[in-house]
Amino acid sequence: MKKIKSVGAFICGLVFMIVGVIMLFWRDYGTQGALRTLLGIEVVLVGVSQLLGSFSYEAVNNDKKHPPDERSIDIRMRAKAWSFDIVTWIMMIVPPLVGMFDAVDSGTHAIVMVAVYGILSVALLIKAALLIFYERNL
Amino acid sequence: MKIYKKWVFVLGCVCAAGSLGGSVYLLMRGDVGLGLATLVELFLFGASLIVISMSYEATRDIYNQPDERSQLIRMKAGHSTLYAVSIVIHVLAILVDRIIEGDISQYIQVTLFGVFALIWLVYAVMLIYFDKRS
Repeated sequence: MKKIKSVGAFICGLVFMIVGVIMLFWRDYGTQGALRTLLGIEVVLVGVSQLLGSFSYEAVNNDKKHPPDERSIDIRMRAKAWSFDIVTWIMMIVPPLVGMFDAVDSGTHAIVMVAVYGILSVALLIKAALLIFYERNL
Repeated sequence: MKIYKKWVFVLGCVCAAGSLGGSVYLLMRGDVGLGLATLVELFLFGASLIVISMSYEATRDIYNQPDERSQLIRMKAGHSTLYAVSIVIHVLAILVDRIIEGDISQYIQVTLFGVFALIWLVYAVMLIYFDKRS
């Protein structure tokens, strides 16, 4: 129990996971069923991230009560910078892989591709603008 | 504004100009579908390439070891980007819900939520990893 830094986040994660699993069992045919299954997997993912976060002091620390020191800031920045890079690569690789294995029909694949690459292009634009902003202000 | 990589700038201009022309052509034909959305994205990619060409840190040679200031700038940019992306994803999901109707809207919303879930899962893993390592 000592490893759990926030019981609230732990319980919240468990609740998310249970809701996600219930959604996975609530199977249906057709588009609605497929979308509900995907949403169930995603809710489970949010639950897992909450659960993992509850084990991390940096993720659940109340900054107003315990102001973050230099090490805390460094850890959070590193984690976020790496998360962005990893998610960017995953987003670039997943749509072609899904297409290669014929996992979804071509119409759905096109819609998902547009949505994923849309997020990616907005993210790249924001990152490039932020790089210039920090270059000038640091 | 100083341009650090000219070929990135030219590529960005070509992407942005081409997609802009294509979008106008599709709009004039009244074709407002996935093709137009793809061209809008290509325009955004072009715009980001133009902005990247103006950033020293983004165009710097990877074999050239970054100093402490460079690392800090890159970390801060990545850190703030994730916050910004999370907000953008939610705004997009709300907009899609209001503007687009039918199955397409649900596919896009599920994809947006999937990316959001993935981002925070990787972040939680990375936090634990760096907490133990540093």
